[in-house]
Amino acid sequence: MTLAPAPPGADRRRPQLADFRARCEDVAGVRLDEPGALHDFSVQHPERFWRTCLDWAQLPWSGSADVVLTSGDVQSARFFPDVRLNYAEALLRPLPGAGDGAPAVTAVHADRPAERLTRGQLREQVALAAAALAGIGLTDRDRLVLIAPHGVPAMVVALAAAALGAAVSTAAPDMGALALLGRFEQVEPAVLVLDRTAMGEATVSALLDGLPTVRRLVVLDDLPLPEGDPTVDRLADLTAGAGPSPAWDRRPFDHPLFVMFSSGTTGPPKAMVHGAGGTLLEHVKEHRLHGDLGPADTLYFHTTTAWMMWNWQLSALAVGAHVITYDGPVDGPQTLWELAAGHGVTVFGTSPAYLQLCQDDGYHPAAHLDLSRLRAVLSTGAVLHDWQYDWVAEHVGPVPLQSISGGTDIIGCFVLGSPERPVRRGRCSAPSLGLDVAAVEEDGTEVVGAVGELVCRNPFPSRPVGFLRDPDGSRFHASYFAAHPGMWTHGDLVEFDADGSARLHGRSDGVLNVDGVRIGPSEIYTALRGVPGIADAMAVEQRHPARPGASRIVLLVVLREGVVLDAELARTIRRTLREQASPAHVPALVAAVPELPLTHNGKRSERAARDAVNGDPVANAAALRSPACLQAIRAAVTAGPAATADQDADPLLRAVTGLWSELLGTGEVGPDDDFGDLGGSSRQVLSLLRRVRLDLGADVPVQAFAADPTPRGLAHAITAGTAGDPAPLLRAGSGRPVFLLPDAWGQLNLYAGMVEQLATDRPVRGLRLRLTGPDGAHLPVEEVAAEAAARLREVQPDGPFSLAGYSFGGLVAHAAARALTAEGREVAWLGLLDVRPPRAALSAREVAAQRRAARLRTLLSRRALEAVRRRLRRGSTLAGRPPVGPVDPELAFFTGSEAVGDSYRPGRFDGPVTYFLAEGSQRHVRGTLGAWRRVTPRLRVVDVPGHHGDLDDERIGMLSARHVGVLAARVSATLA
Amino acid sequence: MLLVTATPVRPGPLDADVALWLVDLAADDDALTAAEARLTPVEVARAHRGTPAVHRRRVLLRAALRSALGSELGIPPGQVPIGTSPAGRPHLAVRGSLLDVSCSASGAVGVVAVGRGRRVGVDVELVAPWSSDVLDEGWLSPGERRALTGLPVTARPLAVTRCWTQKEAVLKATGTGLRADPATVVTPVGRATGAVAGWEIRDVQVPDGWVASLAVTPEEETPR
Ligand SMILES: CC(C)(COP(=O)(O)OP(=O)(O)OC[C@H]1O[C@@H](n2cnc3c(N)ncnc32)[C@H](O)[C@@H]1OP(=O)(O)O)[C@@H](O)C(=O)NCCC(=O)NCCS
Repeated sequence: MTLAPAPPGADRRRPQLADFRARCEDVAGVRLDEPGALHDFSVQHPERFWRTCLDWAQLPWSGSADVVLTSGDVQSARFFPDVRLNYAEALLRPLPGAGDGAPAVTAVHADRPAERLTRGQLREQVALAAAALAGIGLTDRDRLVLIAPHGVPAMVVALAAAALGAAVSTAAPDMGALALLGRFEQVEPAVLVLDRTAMGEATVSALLDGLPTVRRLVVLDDLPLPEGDPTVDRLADLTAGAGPSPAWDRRPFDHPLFVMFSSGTTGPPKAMVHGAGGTLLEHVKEHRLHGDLGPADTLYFHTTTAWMMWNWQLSALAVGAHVITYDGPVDGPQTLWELAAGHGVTVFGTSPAYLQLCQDDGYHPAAHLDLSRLRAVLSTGAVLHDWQYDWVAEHVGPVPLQSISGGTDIIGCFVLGSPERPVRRGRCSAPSLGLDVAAVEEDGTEVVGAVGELVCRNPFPSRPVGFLRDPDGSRFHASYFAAHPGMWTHGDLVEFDADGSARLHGRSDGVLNVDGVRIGPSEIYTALRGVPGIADAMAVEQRHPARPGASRIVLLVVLREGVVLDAELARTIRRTLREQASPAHVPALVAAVPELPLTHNGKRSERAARDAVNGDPVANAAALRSPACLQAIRAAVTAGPAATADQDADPLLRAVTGLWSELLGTGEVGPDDDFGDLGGSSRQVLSLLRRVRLDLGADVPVQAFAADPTPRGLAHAITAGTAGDPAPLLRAGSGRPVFLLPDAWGQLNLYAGMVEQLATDRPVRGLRLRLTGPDGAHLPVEEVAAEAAARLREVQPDGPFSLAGYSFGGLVAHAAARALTAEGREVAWLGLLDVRPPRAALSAREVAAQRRAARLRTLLSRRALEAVRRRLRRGSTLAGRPPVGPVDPELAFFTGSEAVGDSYRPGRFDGPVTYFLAEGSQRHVRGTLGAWRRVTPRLRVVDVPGHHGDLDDERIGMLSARHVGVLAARVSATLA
Repeated sequence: MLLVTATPVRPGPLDADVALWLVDLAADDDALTAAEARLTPVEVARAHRGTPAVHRRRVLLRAALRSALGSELGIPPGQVPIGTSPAGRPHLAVRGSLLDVSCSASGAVGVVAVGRGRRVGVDVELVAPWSSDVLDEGWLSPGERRALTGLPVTARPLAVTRCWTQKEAVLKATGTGLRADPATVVTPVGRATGAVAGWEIRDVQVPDGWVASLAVTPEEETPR
């Protein structure tokens, strides 16, 4: 009788860990069945442990494993310097229980049926792809960048590159071009492999522009191939024409396998190189010993190709597990559970956020689905809360919920599950075997049962080989080994219990995690450099006082001599961060402190500051240079926001702020507060602007306010912008201004939409003109125009001039253009926006034509009454009688303007004139345009949509929001 | 799907192209916490910039907007991709989507409108007592002012507030908000429905004391 070895993981009652322990007991000669004994052995006898691991895992390797470890120094030690292996070979070889016919991968899609490949088929595809990539010159000195969704092609390409010994760096296609370049520019890839289906064309070209080292582009999609450099091929075409697969050489243990990225507290993302041997050995160890994963398992870990969990789940092929990939959207809480149920997933990996989403939505997976195959749920990426364990127990089933935690930096985990340990709510079950992980104090002493810095005190195989662009290793050293000499300091806070279980407590290195957004404080510090008065700053995370489980940013600032943190400075800080970083970087609280906590060796201790702002005892107070600063921090934080020190010397700003407080009914208005943030509604904006006009005598248009709705912005608008300025700047720009003349109301508001949408770099100015004389009577158009010409010359001493006006304003523009040319100045562009010729300019035939049109219009009008009123009014003004209807001073003003307009006799103007004829005015004006042609020989008529849109015209005006876009475009096109 | 604080306004036959939701902005703190959980960190950060009242309003309104879109799309509110125009107009960030959205709040009442194949703008406002000050605030056109002063004093509070909501509804539908001059949007004073600046205006049923208007693209138009 022959005894076939039991496939690993086949017997659920005896985890692989038990088998492994037995091997270690043989090697150690002692029993290791006490809880924690195996881990103790693994870190006390690393050489025996890792050697046993390599042998027991039956990984394919050659060379000699006699030297396990070159030293005991975590930063520089190398594992198995004489062992050679090939990652792809190790993943794809036939295994006991997982031969070539066993399923390797099932790729699930949202929009098409799943595909399944056996291990043999996958190996064949990888071999073809390897031949193809070798054919285009990929070698083991090259790096390949792969941007594709989580699916079979990504796996095949990555494994083919690994087979050839080229390092692979992956990302997801939905990342932005900048983020992709920020990573891959450092990689200097020789070959770029893209699935362009979910990428913008702009991203593709940005990548090619930004990655000049790329010799060949390979695409996985069926989209048309771009022309030019570099040469582009479809992978499918390359494999079809490829020669025989080259040998999958075994290479040194540290040969580069993956390039991964991690953003830290400073600088661009760190590009770290992970070696083939370390990655493989660590992953096989985690999968088999901690996850008990084997050929009987189906693993789905929800990830993208941009996250290290992608690499981690890929390595599950090395233990014979069947891997599921998914590239579709998560449409709701059910998506991933349905996937797990539908594909018989035994180990399902997800994130605390997804579990929380399911819980919040009241979704109960077990009530809808058959999850009987599921034997474990893994979660990583953030802290898993106690209640989430209860939810899984109740609504998923009696399966362990394993919180695992590690990082890209080690392409693996520090703490994770264990098949032999019960799961305790809120805790990771065990430290990673072979890794001497601990929580330490500032001085490096271990703490148990209290929060400390997560460190690893001994060499481990999945430490990165090094960073790219770090020739002397100084960045590498600074990143992990500077904080605690002789230890890998990861930057997480952790608390270990005596049983080895752990709970993570967020970042310790100052990276803030606020509401799930990771915020590098360096971005905060960089932005703050531009704020005068700040000598130093420290941003720390504080438990949210009102929202359990949430956190917020507290910014501690050390001010320069003589500077006070008043509300204004606090707002400058917030505004700067909002504008230069992002809204997520804006602190909830800014507090001034005399000093930041520094350790004896001068290192900033964010951790001490965090304890202080949380009101927690500061564990490392003794390690600080001046522990007294902690008291000051506590006091500053409890004192709350700085009171508005009234040092606004600017009386206008004070007056404006006063109006705000009055209107909003709040005393706390700072100069940079946003009207909306303070609870002001848009309706109140108008009341505010009325008060500004009455109390401060300044006419601020709504749009000017909306551009910067803060007291300071309003004060600016009052001084700089409008009040008293006879030629207010409506839009900034460079070059000769475009001038707009006021309408019959004397106002410029009507041009707001057009000004905004004009396609020109030139400045746009309005003119404020007196339309009436000292006696209140309207001035003739020529007189108004004389003032206009004078104002124009003040702003622009010499021609050529460009000016335009609507209706009455157009008459003034015409008269002003004449005045300017009479002075010998050039008018390059005169725009008349539906300027109906004045009565006085019409011939008898034209008057008759106009009357006919008016009558027709009356008949067509939906509101005949309005038209009757209009006729009455027009008749009355022409006859010089007071206007009919309620006495309305503004209306009287308007009709006064209209009257002087109608009596204007336009003189000859020989310059170019563009007439923008409103569609709705055609009937009215066509017959009378001759009046304009007679005096403006170079008249060009441009049709625009909409109606004239003046008084009582309920139809849509040419300047209305609806039509102004077209008008602005046509004005821009003719502008000279 | 749980809609924590939003209740649909019964859609009338005319409204099948627009789904309307009323939002209770006086909801309790539990509802607020639940609502906040559906927002993105950026939305939460924006809400926190405001005073406590603004925070509450923004959170509940945005959560309701998410719920409304989520229920149209059949996805959880937290996963609705929402974009914002530079001027602040929210929109569903799904290319080619025919859904459009707008929201508004005033006091305890919030309104969310989802246009199905229609571009929408909605505005709700607490009716305030009449004051002739409004005539001089610059947002009414002369014709509107005349029409308003022609109304009996008792009718003016509602009329002027409605007039405002109609203008705002249009400005929010176009997306400019106050960056365009409200005086250029001329409304049919005294009427709850009609056409304003090319938009179809509808009345939205809200609790007594408030008035709300909806602007939608006329039927023949495709949403921009
Ligand atoms: C935002 C604005 C369109 C409406 O304001 P309002 O009537 O006070 O507020 P409402 O409750 O009716 O509507 C607010 C909602 O409109 C939406 N909105 C914002 N800008 C918008 C725009 N340009 N177009 C359409 N909708 C907009 C937002 O979703 C907002 O809700 P949120 O802030 O909670 O996300 C208007 O205030 C504006 O244009 N402001 C310009 C900037 C300004 O002056 N700000 C000062 C404070 S009002």
